[in-house]
Amino acid sequence: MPSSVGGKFLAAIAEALAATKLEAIVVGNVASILNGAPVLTEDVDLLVRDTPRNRLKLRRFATLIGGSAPAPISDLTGTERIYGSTVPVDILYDRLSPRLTFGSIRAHAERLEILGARLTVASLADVIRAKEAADRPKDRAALPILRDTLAVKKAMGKW
Amino acid sequence: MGRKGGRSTSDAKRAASRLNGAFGGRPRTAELLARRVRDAQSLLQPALPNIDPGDLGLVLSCLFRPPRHRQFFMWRDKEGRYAF
Repeated sequence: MPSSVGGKFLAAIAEALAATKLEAIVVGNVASILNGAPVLTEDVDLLVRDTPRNRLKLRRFATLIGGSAPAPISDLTGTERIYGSTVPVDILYDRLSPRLTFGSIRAHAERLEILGARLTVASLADVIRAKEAADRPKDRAALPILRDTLAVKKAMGKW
Repeated sequence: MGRKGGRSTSDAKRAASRLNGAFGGRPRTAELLARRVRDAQSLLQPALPNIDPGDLGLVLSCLFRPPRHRQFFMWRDKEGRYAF
């Protein structure tokens, strides 16, 4: 079975993160899918610490994945977006909500291998907490299947 | 050097390859996945009565695929069709 386009792109992201020594955690719905949730998305969300050094690394990372330099999405948010790669890559800084900091999410995160490259992926429980905190219509729409997936994973653990 | 005639594989391997995908033969990957999902679903469904059976099957089929084979993204191609 051939690898999916998404699988290849995520492997390219993992390789670019390794090449730039940029520590990033995959969050959002890509993390949901890597945790087994049957959903689709239109972008990749990465959480990084906001430091001057990481800002420099991000510019090189964007070049390596074939995208534009990270630029703010709007004046209302600190999130930046890299365009031009296979799908847009959103960069979130330091936290997803007041309680969900980079450190707390990394503490529960898992290292997953895709086509030989390794990605740090937020736990499904943290993705759910982030969506509950964001509480936008699209987050509320995704929550039932994410909660079901978490319940299935817990049941499989006992099985 | 190279092949000097004779059989390149054992009788067992040749017999197995003849049955690949054939009716009653060795199951293809899709059939193995479907069987794995069905078996897990029959065990887990009683413990998860609040989860829709269709959704449980979707979750299991996603969990049983290696991450590199999962579908992640949806976007429009140059002709305006949705691609995955």
